[in-house]
Amino acid sequence: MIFGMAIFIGSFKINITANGAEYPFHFGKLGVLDFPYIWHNVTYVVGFMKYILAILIVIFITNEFSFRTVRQNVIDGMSRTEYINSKLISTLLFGIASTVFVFLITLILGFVRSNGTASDVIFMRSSFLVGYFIELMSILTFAFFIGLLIKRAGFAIIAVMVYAFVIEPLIGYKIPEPYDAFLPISSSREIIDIPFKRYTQGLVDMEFNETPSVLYSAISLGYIALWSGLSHWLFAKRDL
Amino acid sequence: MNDLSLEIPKGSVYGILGPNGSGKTTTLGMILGIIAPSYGSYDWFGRTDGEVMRQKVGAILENPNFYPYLNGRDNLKIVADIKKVSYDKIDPTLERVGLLHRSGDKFRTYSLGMKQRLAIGAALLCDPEVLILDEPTNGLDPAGIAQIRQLITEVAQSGVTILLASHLLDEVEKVCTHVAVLKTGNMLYSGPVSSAFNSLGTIEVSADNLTNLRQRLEQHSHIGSIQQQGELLHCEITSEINLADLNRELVQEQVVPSHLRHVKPRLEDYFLEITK
Repeated sequence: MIFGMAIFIGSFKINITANGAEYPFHFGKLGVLDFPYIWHNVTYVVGFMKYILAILIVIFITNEFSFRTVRQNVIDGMSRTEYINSKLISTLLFGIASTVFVFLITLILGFVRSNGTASDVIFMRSSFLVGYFIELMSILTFAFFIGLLIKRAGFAIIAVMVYAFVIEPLIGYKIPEPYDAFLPISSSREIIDIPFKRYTQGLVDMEFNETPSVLYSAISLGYIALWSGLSHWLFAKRDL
Repeated sequence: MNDLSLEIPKGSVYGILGPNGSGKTTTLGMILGIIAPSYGSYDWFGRTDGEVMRQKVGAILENPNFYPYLNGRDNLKIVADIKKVSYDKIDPTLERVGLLHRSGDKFRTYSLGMKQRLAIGAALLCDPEVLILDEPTNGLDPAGIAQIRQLITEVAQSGVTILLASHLLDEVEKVCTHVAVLKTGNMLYSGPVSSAFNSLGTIEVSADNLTNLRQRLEQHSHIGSIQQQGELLHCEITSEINLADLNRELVQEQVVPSHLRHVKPRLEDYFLEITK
């Protein structure tokens, strides 16, 4: 699906009329899918998929409650920490798998569009993959914790979505910049800056970050630790 | 629970009886690490690291819980991993509970009886020293119930300590060596089954002349209260009576019993009595 989207965008061509003159605007020629910029562009776009993956993680956790297998596993002799760790590791593997998938897709897209580029150029900006991974894990661990907290799939999914799209933005209005981006969801979003600013740099004057942000990555790592720790703490003393 | 304290002797078959809501599952939940007690402690084999010790215990609590999208064998593999038991034990255990032929089918296709049997299989997987069964015959048909009773007896004979929470009083009576009776969180009795109640029981007597019979019996030193039900007199006995002797005595006094029977006490009567 992403593949198709990318091909579609790559061949898109529109005519922009500005100041009375016509400027043919060919996306493909912009080099959206060229190495090394492709890493930035693709990881930005697939960032929107993270909500779907987060829902999967919620289901992953809440299933254990609806099947009551969480109870049986603890009865059988799994300690509380062992249990949470095993689930967190599965989530981590899930995140890694997704990142590898993005890596492969991006490589393929890049080769399809580019014409023979040197291998050091190909991998030059691939640090964006790491940024993607951190962004993904940040929301996955958040979804993990909410799933653990609420235990029912439907409510937990709604909770995650409402928080991400309604509550956090509302809190964000109350907090002065730039601290509003220190909130859980927002901080992970800021790791990878909007890549298209590169292409508007001539037209509009905006700040633009050419590499994944170290600051927001660090903050996101902090949140990952927070949600993981909270999950352990929550689970330790609960009745099942 | 209200200050519950129990000691389970090794090798016993300990029944936990009580009406719904008396705290049987709560008690079992506490010693299995599922429910946190407000205070108090418990130990397994004298040790307090419950999580590790539970790997040597087999337990079913309330319902069989397994992953519906996995088959029987895979579900048991998960249990084997948690209990650190070799996969070699899986097939013999499935055989023992009669599920080997369905081990490749997904759990959600199992009937209730099969699900229960898989749960028992999982509990037996680690050759446990202690087996905890909460209503193991829940939802089973009579054939299933008989099977489970058979299994419990076999396992008990091999020296395993069994904790059995049940409503089925006659099962408990047949199988258990000790019993604890609970009601709304309180323990009413705990101890050996045989001394759970007045083991002397009652005597049913009838004769053509009931009034005479009653008079004679009231004078008997070993007979307590007498109740009449239709043509029968039910007499509580206060100490051992030999029926042949009683028969002879009555005949000598010109009262010939047409019906004479010793009714052994039943756990059910006792249970209903004390949980009233």
